[in-house]
Amino acid sequence: MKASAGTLAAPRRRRFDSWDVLIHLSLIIASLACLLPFLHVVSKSFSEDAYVIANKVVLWPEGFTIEAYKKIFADASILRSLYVSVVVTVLFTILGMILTIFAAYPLSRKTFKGRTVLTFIFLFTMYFQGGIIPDYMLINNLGMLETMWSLVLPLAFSAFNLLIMKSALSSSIPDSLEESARIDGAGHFRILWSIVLPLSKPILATLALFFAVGRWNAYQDALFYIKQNVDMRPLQLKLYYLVVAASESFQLEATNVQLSNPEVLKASCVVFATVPILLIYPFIQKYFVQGAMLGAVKE
Amino acid sequence: MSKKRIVSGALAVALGLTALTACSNNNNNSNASPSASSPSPSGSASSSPSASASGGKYPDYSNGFPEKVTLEIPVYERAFEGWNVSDNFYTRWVQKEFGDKYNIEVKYTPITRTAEVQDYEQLLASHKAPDIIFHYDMPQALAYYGEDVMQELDYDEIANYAPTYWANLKSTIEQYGSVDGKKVFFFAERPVADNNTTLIRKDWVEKVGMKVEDLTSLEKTNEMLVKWKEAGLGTLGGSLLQNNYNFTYAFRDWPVNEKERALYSDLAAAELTWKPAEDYLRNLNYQYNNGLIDKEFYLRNDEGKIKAEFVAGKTGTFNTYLTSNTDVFAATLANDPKAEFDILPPGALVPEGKVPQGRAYWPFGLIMGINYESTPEERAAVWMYLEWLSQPANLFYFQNGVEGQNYTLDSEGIPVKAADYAGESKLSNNNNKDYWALVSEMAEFDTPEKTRKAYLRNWAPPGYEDLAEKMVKYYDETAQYRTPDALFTVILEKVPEYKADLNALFQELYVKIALAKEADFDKVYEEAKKTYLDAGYQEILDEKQKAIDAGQYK
Amino acid sequence: MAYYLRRDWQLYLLVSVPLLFVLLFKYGPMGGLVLAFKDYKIARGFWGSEWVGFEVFQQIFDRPDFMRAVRNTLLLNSLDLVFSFTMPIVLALLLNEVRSAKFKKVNQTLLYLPHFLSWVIIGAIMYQLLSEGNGVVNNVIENLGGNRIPFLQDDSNWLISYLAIGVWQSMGWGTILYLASISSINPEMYEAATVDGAGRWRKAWNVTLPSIRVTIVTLLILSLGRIMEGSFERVYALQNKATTEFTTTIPVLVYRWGIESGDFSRGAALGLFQSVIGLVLVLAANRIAKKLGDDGVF
Repeated sequence: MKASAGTLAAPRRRRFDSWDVLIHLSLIIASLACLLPFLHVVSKSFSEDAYVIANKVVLWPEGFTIEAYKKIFADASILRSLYVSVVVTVLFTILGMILTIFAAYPLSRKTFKGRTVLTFIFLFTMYFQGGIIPDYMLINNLGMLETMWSLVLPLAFSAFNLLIMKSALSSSIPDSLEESARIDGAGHFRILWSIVLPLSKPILATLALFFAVGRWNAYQDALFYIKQNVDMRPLQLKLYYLVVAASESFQLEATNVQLSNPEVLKASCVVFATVPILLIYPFIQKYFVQGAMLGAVKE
Repeated sequence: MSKKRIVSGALAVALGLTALTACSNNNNNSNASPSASSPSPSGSASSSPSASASGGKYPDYSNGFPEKVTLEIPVYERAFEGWNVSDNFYTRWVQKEFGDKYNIEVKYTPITRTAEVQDYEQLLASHKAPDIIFHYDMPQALAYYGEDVMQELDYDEIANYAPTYWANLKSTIEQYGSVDGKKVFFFAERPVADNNTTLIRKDWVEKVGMKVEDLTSLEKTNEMLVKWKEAGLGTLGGSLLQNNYNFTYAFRDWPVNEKERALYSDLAAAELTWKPAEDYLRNLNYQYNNGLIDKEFYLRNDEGKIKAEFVAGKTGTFNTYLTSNTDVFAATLANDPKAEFDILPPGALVPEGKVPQGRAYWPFGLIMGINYESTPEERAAVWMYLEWLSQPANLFYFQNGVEGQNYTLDSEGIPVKAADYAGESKLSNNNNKDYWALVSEMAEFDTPEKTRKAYLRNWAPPGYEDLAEKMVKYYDETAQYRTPDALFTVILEKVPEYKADLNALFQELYVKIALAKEADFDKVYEEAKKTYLDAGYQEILDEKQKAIDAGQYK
Repeated sequence: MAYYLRRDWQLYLLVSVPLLFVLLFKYGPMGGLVLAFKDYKIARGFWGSEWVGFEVFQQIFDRPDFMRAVRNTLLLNSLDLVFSFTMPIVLALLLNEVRSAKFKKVNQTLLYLPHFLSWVIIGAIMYQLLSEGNGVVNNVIENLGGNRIPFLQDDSNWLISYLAIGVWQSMGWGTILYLASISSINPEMYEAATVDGAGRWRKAWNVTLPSIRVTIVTLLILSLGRIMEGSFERVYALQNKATTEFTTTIPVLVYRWGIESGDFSRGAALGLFQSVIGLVLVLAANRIAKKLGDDGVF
């Protein structure tokens, strides 16, 4: 069993004290509070529409049925959206990580000339944006509308992630390490590849998770950039259309056909869109190995 | 490094790139202006000698355009499952039957229904907007006009290229299509029909010893609500007033005072300070304080939430657009198998002494304008498209599909849809409405009776046909009391400026008034009036009054 | 200069890639900010529209809703800083005390769940739970003999609920970064602390907390930069028309004036207002952090 960082490396002799009980209890309560609403959505997705409309479903399905899920898996366009989302997320994460590392490593070196200016240039973009119309015009001018690239490229660089990684690198990779590598004749590329990256596994894993989840959940840009090309719609955009768009009532239009989607379908799409990305964290966990720095520096 | 250098360095970089982007914008703009300027001279030049026969003045494209013309038509994108609005059986059919004949490439531009203004703005800013710019709301259409994105029109040109369309809509366009003296808008027809109605739980009414037909006035309805409360049944359905304000009709005087109506009655700006509004709010306050209306009516801000209360048996009335595929009946029965339904009579929410007034729709549906960047050929192509679309045969095909597959004709020649048809010629989820809405809001047939029957078929849920008939009967009975809002012939600038804020403020104020104790009503209402006027409503009223005094309205 | 280029040319090469990226995708469209000073008409484009100087800002500042929005934004965001910012730190420390890796893993995964629900859905769920009329929680309270509580339908209660829901939604996800930093602590430090006689909480205070200090400071500075921002969806999903004291915020106005009305000049002006204040605060906070001995953000 992996020991967490709070315990002794020596053989344990800890009493199971009252603090332990309290801590475990609070964590359980917090986790339950986070689980239950999700459970509510899952229950709705397995219930009959009439009960869901009447708000009668709380934590357990009423009138159990898997109709909605059957519909989802039979719908080729939803499965295609899933595929698009996966591809876009993977590309986005890779690109984002590359950009972040390329910027964070140099900026974390205290002797790097121009460090402050460059950091400011990156930081500035966190607070000042052009707006949806100039953004759209740029994407249009680059010919990226209706393509996957409009979802992968523009947001791939995140100043927030950059600053996090920069802080992490500058504090956890001491200059002494760098100097000794330099003395051994290594150039920056080598240092980055062989020393810095292996030692930064936790932060790299974390940021990769941030990139992936951020891209997976966001749909506002797809709403504007992907209009004609129905095949390129990511999953969250589809979900948005299902949940939000259907609830609008347009008073000036003549309504001959009811267009609202069944509540159950909405709930099952939420579950369908969330479960894939939830499964990623357990794989990231193994990178949070403690003692990654052991043996690297003897102070 | 000093902060000053950082900042100036960054700014220099930013400015440099801004210039780059700006250059590309400038190029686009300069490309756009030649075409934008050309329509106006021709428009004004040809409108004067219009007395002579128009045939010789306009190029004849009946054999097709000499060079291929790209026609971009906007279509609402509602994200229907499995439906591609730009490329499907019907768009291909249009290209074959219409486009190929005249050497036009017909392209459909999707406009997201829920974010349409943003979509249009992005497209317009990038010079990719379709040839037609449309909206259902007159204020927003006027806003588009105010952005200078619409060309001036020449009515003779429309008559030349689209005689059928022109014959159908001439009077509407001539009456409503001008702004500031310029001819800008053209419209789609809106036949007189409405399927908005209020359902009521018949079993509840009868349980307290009354009959639905007895509900002829607001006072009687309130009595019934008291009885409902005592019997522990439920309350009147309520919802949050938002966006389109037509809540005071039942409380207005009859006959209509034209000037007052022009001043106050407005879908965009709620008429909080008008006497009928005070009466409405007083009644709402009474109902709220006595537990006769949904206690949390202000939380019901979309149809789903309002429906939920009715389906769950908490409220006994539900205002909706009755359609044949509605699920409200089945859902309510699943929760309460003994439920029975009826239509609320028109007088039920009208105070004694007043008549069941209502808002008559203006005779148009979509309000459209031609993109300022469209060339004369593209404009002519638009008229030809509208003409082609107005042909009854084409319209029928678009609305119903292929005979024998999508539908079969019954003995009266009314199409009966094949249930769950999933073949190649399947219509969109709303019967292709977004395509043919450019000429008409609803399908029409050769005789009014046939049209009526077809509507009933669309509106009547299976097993509840009698309800649909009753709804139509009531609609006919109240026709004499329906009046349209005034349409101003001059642009009112204050309305769009304050509309969003007044909207939010009105909701806040009226809920506060409704929730106040009955004894405090007058005080709270007076305060609210003052707040509302100060926040911009007074300016709107002043501007409108000026226009009314100058007679600039219809 | 040439010396540095020669010595660190690899670093310059590395950083040039994201730099070009940022110049293209972020600085390129920034010209749109100029719209805050113009009377934007789509047909005339950015450069053709008339220059009106600070008139747009004047109009915005004159609106009665503006001051209310500024007050509310500052209030909500400051309180969020106190609660939503500190909660993940507390949780991370608590999780660190757990010995069973399995318990830890399960807990963490559960704690993230709210982050994945969109605010639209959270809003619907919260009203189903907390509404005074039919809310599940109130039903339970009433059955237990208590009085129904208007969690979302009374001004001060709404504020508390808004904050609590915010904490609930973000606390799990916020622990990830801290746990990553904690995982790189040298276990020998804990050993040394035990030898010194430190108990559980002293260890947390002296060993664990300092190791995540850099992360905390960085996040704090960046959060201060967002003091005028905030999530529009969060307020919109949780608001209702009976409780309006705190529900008008700057992001709400950006939506109402910029997006809903299609008034792009006004939207750009509001955005610029938020940005300038944010940047000033970040620079100030950064300087303070540096004075206190931390690294600061740049």
